[in-house]
Amino acid sequence: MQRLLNTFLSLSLIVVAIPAVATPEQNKESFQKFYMDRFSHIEKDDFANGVYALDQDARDQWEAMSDFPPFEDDLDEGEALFNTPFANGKQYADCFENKGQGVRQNYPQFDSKSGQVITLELAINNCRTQHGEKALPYKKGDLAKVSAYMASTSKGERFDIKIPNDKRAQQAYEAGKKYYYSKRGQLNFSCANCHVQNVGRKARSETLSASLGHPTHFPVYRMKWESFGTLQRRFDSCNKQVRAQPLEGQAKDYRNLEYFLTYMSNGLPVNGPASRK
Amino acid sequence: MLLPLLSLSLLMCVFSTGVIASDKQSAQAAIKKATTLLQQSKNLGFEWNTVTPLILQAQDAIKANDFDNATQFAVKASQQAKLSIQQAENEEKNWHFNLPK
Ligand code: HEC
Repeated sequence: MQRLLNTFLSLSLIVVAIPAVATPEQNKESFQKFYMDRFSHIEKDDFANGVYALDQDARDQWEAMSDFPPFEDDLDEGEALFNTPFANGKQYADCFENKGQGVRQNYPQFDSKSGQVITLELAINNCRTQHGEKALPYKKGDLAKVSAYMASTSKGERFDIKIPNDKRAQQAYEAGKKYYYSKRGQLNFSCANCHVQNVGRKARSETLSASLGHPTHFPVYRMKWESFGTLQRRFDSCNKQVRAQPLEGQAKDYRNLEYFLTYMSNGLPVNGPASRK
Repeated sequence: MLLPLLSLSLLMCVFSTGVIASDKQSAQAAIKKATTLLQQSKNLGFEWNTVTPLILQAQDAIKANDFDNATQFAVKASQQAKLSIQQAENEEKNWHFNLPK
């Protein structure tokens, strides 16, 4: 009896201890492994195609229109905007490594100077305000077009999000993780309830995609929006589905969530922008 | 004879205006309470998008002098905001049980 109690005690200690000791790297390994075990016939890189990795019918329709992607004009505009100098003669290229070509896979980044998570969209706006331009509205419009262009120059690069050895970076990551696994809204659903526990099942008429690969193809051109939207615009849609109030663009919780979610997809290729229903 | 009658009607007057006044007041108080609770749930990061519309409906009802409905909307808003605060407290303790095993 004493032995039994002891094993029970040590077992429960282990169970309680796991969330505290698991490193981001371990989190990522088990997160990716979950999906790869669950869908063992799917190549890891194919998760970058979202729901189309899981639903062949939907994929056939999607591929039929990929010869003439609906976002071509907006993407061209994004390129033109990217190359238009600011009033002070500087341009976006001056604010980024490698002149902003092929950098999507490194965002979000943790900035140790400000102690904050910097998404690509935030970096684009920081660049503007640094050079005397007005910040653009987040989530859609010109900012999403510029971001889409920058993603397009990064195709095939593999996500490499870093969590530096800085307490604040680890806290930001943990906060994003907590957001992802917390139930919210009147319907009391967490992101994980749909995109982990019910992945591959139908919610109304839609198959639920894996969160592995969620950020790789953003900004996304959604038919429903008839425009590009950033990843955070998509967070809004999912929050509304569970009747939770969406947050402001680049709210701290959203940036931390994006940090966590993108870290979970480390190793997958950039394949944005993409189109969705 | 006249005095008791007068005082009675005076009393009724005070009483009835009192009821109307307290109705508007209580509706306003109910809205204030709902707004405070909503702010709390917002601060916790667990605001439901159903609460603000109820508060707006309550405010519209006040403008239309429909204090009963105003109070009902506001009370409903408070109930939902309270549930969202409870949700925040629950998740603070339990979210990590949702982690993949
Ligand atoms: C009620 C279920 C539900 C919840 C909860 C939910 N989502 Fe979704 N989500 C969906 C559906 C349905 C879609 C559209 C089909 C798909 O791609 O999965 C979707 C799509 C997405 C997409 C776009 C996928 C793509 O390839 O374009 C992302 C990103 C996403 N969700 C993230 C989240 C995050 C982060 C949360 C938590 C804040 C969340 N979702 C909560 C149902 C849900």
